[in-house]
Amino acid sequence: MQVIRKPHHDGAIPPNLIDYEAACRSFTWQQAREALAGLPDHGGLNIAHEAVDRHALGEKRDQVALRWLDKAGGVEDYTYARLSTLSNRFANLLQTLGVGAGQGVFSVLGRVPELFITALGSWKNHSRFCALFAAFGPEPLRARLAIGRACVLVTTADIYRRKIAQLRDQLPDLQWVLIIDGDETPAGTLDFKTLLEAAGPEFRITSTDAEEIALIHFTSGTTGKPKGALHAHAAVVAHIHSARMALDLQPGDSYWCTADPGWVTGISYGVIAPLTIGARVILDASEFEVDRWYRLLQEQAVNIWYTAPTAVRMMMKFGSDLARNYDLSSLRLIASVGEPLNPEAVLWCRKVFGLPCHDNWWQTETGAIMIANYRAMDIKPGSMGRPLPGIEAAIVERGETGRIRILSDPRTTGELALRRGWPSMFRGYLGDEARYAKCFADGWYLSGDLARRDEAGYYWFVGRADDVIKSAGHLIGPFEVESVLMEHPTVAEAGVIGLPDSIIGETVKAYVVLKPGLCMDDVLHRDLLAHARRRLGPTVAPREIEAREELPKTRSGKIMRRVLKARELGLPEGDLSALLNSQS
Amino acid sequence: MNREEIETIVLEVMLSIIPEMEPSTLDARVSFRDQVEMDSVDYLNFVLTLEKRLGIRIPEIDYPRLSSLDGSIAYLLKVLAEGTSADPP
Repeated sequence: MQVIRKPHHDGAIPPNLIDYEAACRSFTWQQAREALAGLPDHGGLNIAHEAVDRHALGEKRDQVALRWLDKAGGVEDYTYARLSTLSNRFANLLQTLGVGAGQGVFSVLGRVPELFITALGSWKNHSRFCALFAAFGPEPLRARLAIGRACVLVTTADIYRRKIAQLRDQLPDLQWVLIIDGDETPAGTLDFKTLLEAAGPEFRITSTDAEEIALIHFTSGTTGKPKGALHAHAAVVAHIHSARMALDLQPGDSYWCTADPGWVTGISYGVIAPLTIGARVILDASEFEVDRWYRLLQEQAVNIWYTAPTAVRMMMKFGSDLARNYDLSSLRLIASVGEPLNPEAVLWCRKVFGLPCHDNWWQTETGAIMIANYRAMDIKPGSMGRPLPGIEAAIVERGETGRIRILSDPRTTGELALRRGWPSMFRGYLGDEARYAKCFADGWYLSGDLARRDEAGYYWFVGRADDVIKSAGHLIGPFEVESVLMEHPTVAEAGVIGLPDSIIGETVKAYVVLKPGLCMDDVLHRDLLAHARRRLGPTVAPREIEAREELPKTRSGKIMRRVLKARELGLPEGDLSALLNSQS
Repeated sequence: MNREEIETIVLEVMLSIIPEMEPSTLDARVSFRDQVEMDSVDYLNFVLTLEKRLGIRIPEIDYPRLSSLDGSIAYLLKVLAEGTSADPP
């Protein structure tokens, strides 16, 4: 196997992490916590203070915190002082509306500065912030706004008209909708800009318990409703530590995170970590376009680039010639997350950028990077790397009665588990204590991901332990897709699986059993696809729908998605390991 | 192939990928992605299906030129008239 050897120090700027083993021995979370400022007068720990206010009070006040590249080609800079004032205004705005501690402030936005203002202002006001994916259709939005009991929603006029207006009577908790753009605000909404300008520029964050819930991030399970993972203000300790270690992020860096804010990466590493470190965040409103991406890396002299395997594979597909037109020498580290990065992609990056791509692993529930490849550590292409200093990982097997067994033999496949207690560990699933409790055993968090560890301590992703689909870095719950298909008057049963895809990891495929007397034709096929896309949005909706006479079921009537998948891939139906191996 | 024929094909291909699209409400000058829900995988499928349907190869660097209906028609007219790609890589 090819190993990419790394010198401990390969450039003018020394890495934050030089000696991995030494860091693992000496690191404590207590030290990491003490490196943060904390609110004045022992007022506790608040993400907004660490991310902007303390910089706005110090020598970074006039430094660019956020550089927004809008869709029209314009550039707008926000200094730390300006972000601090704008988020003060938003916190005051919330108080004027009577929105208080613990209430849910949601956004359905793309990559726009209002996202930062809303998030930071919500934390200052002790409200809970939740960003939802703007490409979700009305149904995933409704489910998440309802479970999160959203009280305030910040969105655009277009999204409101197309997706939210129709849901208003199903969302009794949603009191205020703030619209960031457009000349006329739709009925039942308020104008974000007008209210923000009318709100005062000063705000003092009151004492904040580090355990206070700051964030809700939704994720998908195999069955049932989406899960709202709760994160505390203390998570910022893990955000800054992991960004320093795994992303080598340093003050003043030009930093570009391509993740959508609707996913945990877009908030943990798109907003919180880089601001807390004092970097310059590049926020690109536009969608992926390969030539423009290279140009952005050059023009913004990006030092640290955090992206996703799907994006890297799209760039690979377009070939490496394009890159030669650009000066990409500012890059110091490239990292990716969302799904395992195949070895070819790691090596392709090295060829094109002169730097390998550093894969890392974490989940919505872990809140921060847990296992990573580091700038000064050798890379084994295809491996997710080694646990972050401060994180204890293991490969385990679930036993009877809530016990686990640690599988210490190298190369044994089991469930990836983490010793509980790191600061960004989720504190619960909203309204679902039983589901939360099921994630833990014997003091370990059980990730639901299957992996193995080699003799050198590197971890390798094997597959999901459940039926959750990983597509373009997003977790998609098959149940949510099946439920929407079943809403269609022609569908009697539905089973949804992920099929391997060379670009996006897995693509969503649905099988349906039509009601008696009906048969699938082009018109119905299109109608079903359109229905699913309208309700779920393009990323969650199936790209393929196939009719079957019947679906494989257990005796209790549960659809056996694994059998569907095995049949589709031509694998033995009972042989799960063969299936998993084929994906790794 | 004339403009109308190309427009028909572009719309048919779009509809096969974005079946919920309403062609009558589409503004031909505005990018598809600003009007309909379309992610980057949809966009890739759109271009690849056009390639297959028209028997041409569209270099990746030209993908952005196909982002609106007018853009697609102008680009494809040029490519088909020249019998080669509009802007060889």
